[in-house]
Amino acid sequence: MPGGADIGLPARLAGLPLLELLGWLALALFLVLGFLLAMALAVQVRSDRIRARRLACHARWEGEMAAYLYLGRDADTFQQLDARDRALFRHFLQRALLSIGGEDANRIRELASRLDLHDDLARRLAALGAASRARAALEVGLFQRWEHLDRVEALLKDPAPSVAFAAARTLARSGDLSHAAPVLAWVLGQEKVQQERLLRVLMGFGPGLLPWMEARLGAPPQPREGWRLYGLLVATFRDLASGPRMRELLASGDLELTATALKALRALGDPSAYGAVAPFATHPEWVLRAQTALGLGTLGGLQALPALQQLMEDRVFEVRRNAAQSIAELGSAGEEVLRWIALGQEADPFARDLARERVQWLEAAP
Amino acid sequence: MSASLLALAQWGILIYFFALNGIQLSLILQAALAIRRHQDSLEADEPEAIFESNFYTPITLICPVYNEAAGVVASVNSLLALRYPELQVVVVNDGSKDGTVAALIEAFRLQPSERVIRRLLPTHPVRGVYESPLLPHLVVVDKANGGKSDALNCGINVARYPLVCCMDGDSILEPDALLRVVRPFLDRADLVASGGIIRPANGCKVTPLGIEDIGLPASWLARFQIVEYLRAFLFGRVGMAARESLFILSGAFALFRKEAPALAGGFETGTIGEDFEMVVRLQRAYRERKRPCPMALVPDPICWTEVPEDRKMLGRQRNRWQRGLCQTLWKHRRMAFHPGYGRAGLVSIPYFILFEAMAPWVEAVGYGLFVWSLWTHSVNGAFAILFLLVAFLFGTMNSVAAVFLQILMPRRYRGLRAMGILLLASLLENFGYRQLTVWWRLKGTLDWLRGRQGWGDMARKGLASS
Repeated sequence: MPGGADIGLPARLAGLPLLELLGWLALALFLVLGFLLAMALAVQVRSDRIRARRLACHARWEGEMAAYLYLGRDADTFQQLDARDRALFRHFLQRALLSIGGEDANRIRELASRLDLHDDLARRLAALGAASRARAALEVGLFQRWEHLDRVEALLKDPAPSVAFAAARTLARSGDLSHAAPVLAWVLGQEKVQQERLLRVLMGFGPGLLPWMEARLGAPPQPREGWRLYGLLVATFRDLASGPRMRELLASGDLELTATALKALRALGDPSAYGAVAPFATHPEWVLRAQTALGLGTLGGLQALPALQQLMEDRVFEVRRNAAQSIAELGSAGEEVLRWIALGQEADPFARDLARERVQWLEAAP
Repeated sequence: MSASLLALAQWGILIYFFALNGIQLSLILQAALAIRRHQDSLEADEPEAIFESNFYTPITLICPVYNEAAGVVASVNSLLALRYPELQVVVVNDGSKDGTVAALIEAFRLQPSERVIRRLLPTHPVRGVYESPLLPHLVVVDKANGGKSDALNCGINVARYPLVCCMDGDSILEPDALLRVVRPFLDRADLVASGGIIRPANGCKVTPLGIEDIGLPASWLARFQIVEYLRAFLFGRVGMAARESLFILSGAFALFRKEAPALAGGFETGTIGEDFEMVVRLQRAYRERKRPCPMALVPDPICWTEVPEDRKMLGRQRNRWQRGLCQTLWKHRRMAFHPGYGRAGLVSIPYFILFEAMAPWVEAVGYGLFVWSLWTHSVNGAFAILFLLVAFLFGTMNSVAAVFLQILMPRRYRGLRAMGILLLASLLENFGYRQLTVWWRLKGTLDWLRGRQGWGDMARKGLASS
């Protein structure tokens, strides 16, 4: 093209054949695009087929599983399992085990063993894909393949959080306290907000975890995080024997440990703790007042009403909400008090608002 | 002189083009990895696990509505059906003229309430608050018209819980949307906001409980927008979130820690793109207080919205988006290239200025230059045509990659026909549709320069009728 090479973009620049390069780039992009188009169509067809097959298999297995568990049908029904459906069937059993327990669960585990569904479990625990490792770790727990627990413990150090989480769940599910130390260390290594979520993992070890922790933690309040988790576990397990320890934490002077102890004492529901809890209703820290508002009603019953009415006028919403909830839980007397606050023109407007809402909730309740 | 200017423009466009496509390519790869990682994590820890734990953060969902009588009941029904342990739904009617409040009062048997509203943020006067004795967690606020931002601020005032979810009145959420979008807040105590992927609901079967069946609309205009949404969310935002440079959360669905918008002074009234402006202002407010401002994006399709199927409406929408973008970037221009604002100042704002606000201008100049250069023979003709072809192939590859990535998602378009249509739309959008959007965005920039404000009326078909 005349003049084309003199100004603007030339076909060659500093010895580089720009035009040829662009031509090759266009060809490469054209090929990549063609590949992507073909792949997209192929993957879509494959995904749709897998989905359709999965739905059909699940529909069939649901019926066969019910017959196997409750009609005494023999496990041979499943012997004709197609080789490509083994992983799907394993996942099906895994999901069934999440909602079935006792003897039925044992029969499912027996079925999985008879079909050799776990023959490659060791390999899958070391698989490249994080999802495979996580699922394999959960499988060990659900199917009680405890011979793999040491391999699962190694997965606590897995770079994928989901795999480490699955490993912790399985180790806890085993109830074997010899694995409690690494799981506890892993939980304590997580962010605080995560630690609280991971309580349900630690619960898997059962109530035996509390004396085990107490023996290893030493005298409170140090280590702080360890005792905090201990307190939250006491609340979860409602372990009455830990009541004195909780009163000890209440006097520790540490904000978080005190809040945890208040939470735990409320969960334990021991009325003798009322005297120890009541003074925190006027504590300068709202977190402690909020916890106390919840605990007062449970521990003190009607005698806590004056203190709870005071807390309904607290400047912090969470405290007011907890106080309203506590009063509502006191039964008809609490309901009367809420109605009185809701109607009272002189009452604090925020307290009145919350009281009205609680009354509406109580009225709407069946 | 003119020859040197022409050469400069040509080189500028070439460099711009390769920079933009290079960034987008790396975003595609990062998005693919992020989606895969996310799906892996769900394998081991399902969103429903929140129900087994006592530890979750309660959420107030704020739904501002304006002239949404056609679809508001369906939208609120889908909100009430959301699965979450502790949820308050606040519907704020922003002075509708079409009987939106009446539709809500009738459908939910609402009664006037004397609820006290805390004035955390200033708003237009509230005309009334309605509650239903049957649904204690539903509050409807009727206020004077003040725009979407004002309605959201009013919702924040009414909100009871520490997390507030801001959404559009015409959006339909997946039943487990909140369980999914709250996850990043449970993983990070300092998280300020999180969002999810928004998808067009046109063509889907909508029931009062949400989206029942995912389908494609008959209109090609809506199909092009589906490809656009996939591209914008799947690798635009997912990829940027993976780099911790997320700078936009859709106003259709975003979850904030309540203290965050309150700290930043609430949603700015008089702003056209209040969602983008809020995210930028949050980044600015937090950085100026020497605090990090992490935001997350959950790569799950959790919110569905009606997109315009009419060219006039779509033009208005794109014009508004462009005006909002320019307005916000201009307002916060001080952040650009300022190291004190971290990645927001050094990466995100420059990216939005160069590759979002200026993109339609560069593209328009490119088209003009292409024709001019061929006409005047000022560039090698083969080179110009090849360059246009490469630009087309790159753009199409991005769209096809986005359509491909949606197969990895749990809620996807099924069947070979749907995939074929989406891939065809990825190819066809380059011929006409793309140029139309460039035109609307150019007009938007000019309107912004002329100081035009307002949203313009947006007529809706209503999702229930889809």
